[in-house]
Amino acid sequence: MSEVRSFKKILIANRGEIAVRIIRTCKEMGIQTVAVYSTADKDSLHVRLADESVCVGPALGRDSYLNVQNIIASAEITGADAIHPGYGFLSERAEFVEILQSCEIAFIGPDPYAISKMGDKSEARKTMMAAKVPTVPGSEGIVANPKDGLEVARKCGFPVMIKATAGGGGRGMRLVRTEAEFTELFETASQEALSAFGNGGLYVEKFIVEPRHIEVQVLGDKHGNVIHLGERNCSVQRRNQKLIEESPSPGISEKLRQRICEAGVLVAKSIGYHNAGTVEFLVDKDENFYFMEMNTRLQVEHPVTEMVTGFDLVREQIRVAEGHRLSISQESVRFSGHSIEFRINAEDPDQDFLPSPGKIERLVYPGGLGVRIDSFVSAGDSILPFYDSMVGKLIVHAENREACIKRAKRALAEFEIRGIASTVKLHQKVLESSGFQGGRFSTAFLTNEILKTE
Amino acid sequence: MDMEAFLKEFSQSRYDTVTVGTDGAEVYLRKAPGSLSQIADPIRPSSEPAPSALDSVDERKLIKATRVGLFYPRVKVGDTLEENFIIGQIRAMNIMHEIKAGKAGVVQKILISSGDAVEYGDLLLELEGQA
Repeated sequence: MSEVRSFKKILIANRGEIAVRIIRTCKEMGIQTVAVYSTADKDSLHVRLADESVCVGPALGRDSYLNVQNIIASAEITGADAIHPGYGFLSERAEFVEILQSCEIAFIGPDPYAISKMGDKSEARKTMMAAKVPTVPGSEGIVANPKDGLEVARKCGFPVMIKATAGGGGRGMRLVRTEAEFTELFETASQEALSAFGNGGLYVEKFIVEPRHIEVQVLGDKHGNVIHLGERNCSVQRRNQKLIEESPSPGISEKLRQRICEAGVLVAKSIGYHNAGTVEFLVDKDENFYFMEMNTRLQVEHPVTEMVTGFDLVREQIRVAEGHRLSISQESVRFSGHSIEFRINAEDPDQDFLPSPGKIERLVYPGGLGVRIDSFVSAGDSILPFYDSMVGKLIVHAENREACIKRAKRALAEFEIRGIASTVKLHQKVLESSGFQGGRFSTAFLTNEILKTE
Repeated sequence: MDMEAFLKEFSQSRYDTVTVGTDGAEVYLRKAPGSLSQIADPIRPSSEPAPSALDSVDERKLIKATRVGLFYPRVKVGDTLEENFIIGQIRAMNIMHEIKAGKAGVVQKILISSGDAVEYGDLLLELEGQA
């Protein structure tokens, strides 16, 4: 584990803005790059920027960017010594990392143990309970009958959620506000789960009222060092899809910031984590926080952390995978100013976020001091229907949140996209709202306050 | 919209795939290859890499790689192939994968030297018309 090597050539097993993002850092580090691409992406920016490229399959992701054999064979024929998975696609597949190990190709990410430990939600919950990280209070597994369920509910305090263990799509799920309605709702939920999934097993969890989504960026090396690079607030979301992320998180006390960042480090240390990872927490109105999940990869919203810390996270990922110790200690991390990221998606917020693929007729990116664009398309390019609808990310940095919001308004006003629908106008609306400006908004904010008034 | 109208709309659209439904109950539809939209679609790039100098050759006479790896041909010019004939092997992850001709004809050109790397869509052989 302590052996240090130097990557000469990295294959990026991804497409779009994140592939471009990774190639940029490789170039600055003097590392050769190999792009892989589907037939639909042959003219895409990541293919043009990379030193070499290999076509790995037809348009659909499962035939190309998820084609493990063709991707590993691409590393073999080009002599790449490491693979960076980006996010999505193969980034959190433990078996992919195991195959790479057997082929002696390095994976720029954590080891398969950490990926599978955090990939299984109940396993992750158990591990965190053992590490004394707060998890959402509730039953340990399935409750046998309404009487046992009610006992658990009393212990965590109402309101509670009854959830089907085999659940999905809201079926077998009930919000219970008072003790009086518990038994009846438990029984209907059980029947519903039984008829929908053939399994009536239920568990009980405390319902977190108006939670905020706050996550901690952690970074570990193979020598047991783990640090955090602060937190990000990602509460502006819709159906668990984040739209705006910022750092530092507004609306929380300095004490909570400290505690939640320390908890993030504890989570990573408890599984011997190395490389970049994100520990997600739910925070309630009284500043209690609960472990939600850990993402064992680089996140879409990593740039806000880069802007406030000045560190290149992809560079750190590569160095850690090479076997180096972290180039920074916790004490040397300095946070400067405020950063907000806006996801510019080819989606129509007026039509329930219907994807809007197609040719981009006109595209003008904003610029100026404190404005960063991570994208991969220009005017004349197309957003393809086979992949996610992201056009790019606008990341703004300024000395404090107020100045950052002003700069973001200025930048969004410069953003011109024609030919496809986009989320630009929605972001402008959020910035104008008193809810966002006030800094204390929950994950229900976008749906309840911004989209409702349409 | 009823199902029939929806399917008609989809089949005439420029999209090849669609997912309908809500969380937990989704249906994924994919058009058969060669359906109308793939020809008419203005935004879908060609599904084949540009064959450059071989532009004039009839597609039906070309055999292309469907795997990435090192190609070892097992045929020579003049050989008569049937669809199931093994034309060679592609080596990937230390495994030799046998490659079938997929079409019949007489080998006119072998476009990859033994042991050279191929990617998805690369031309392997050119056949002489027996179509």
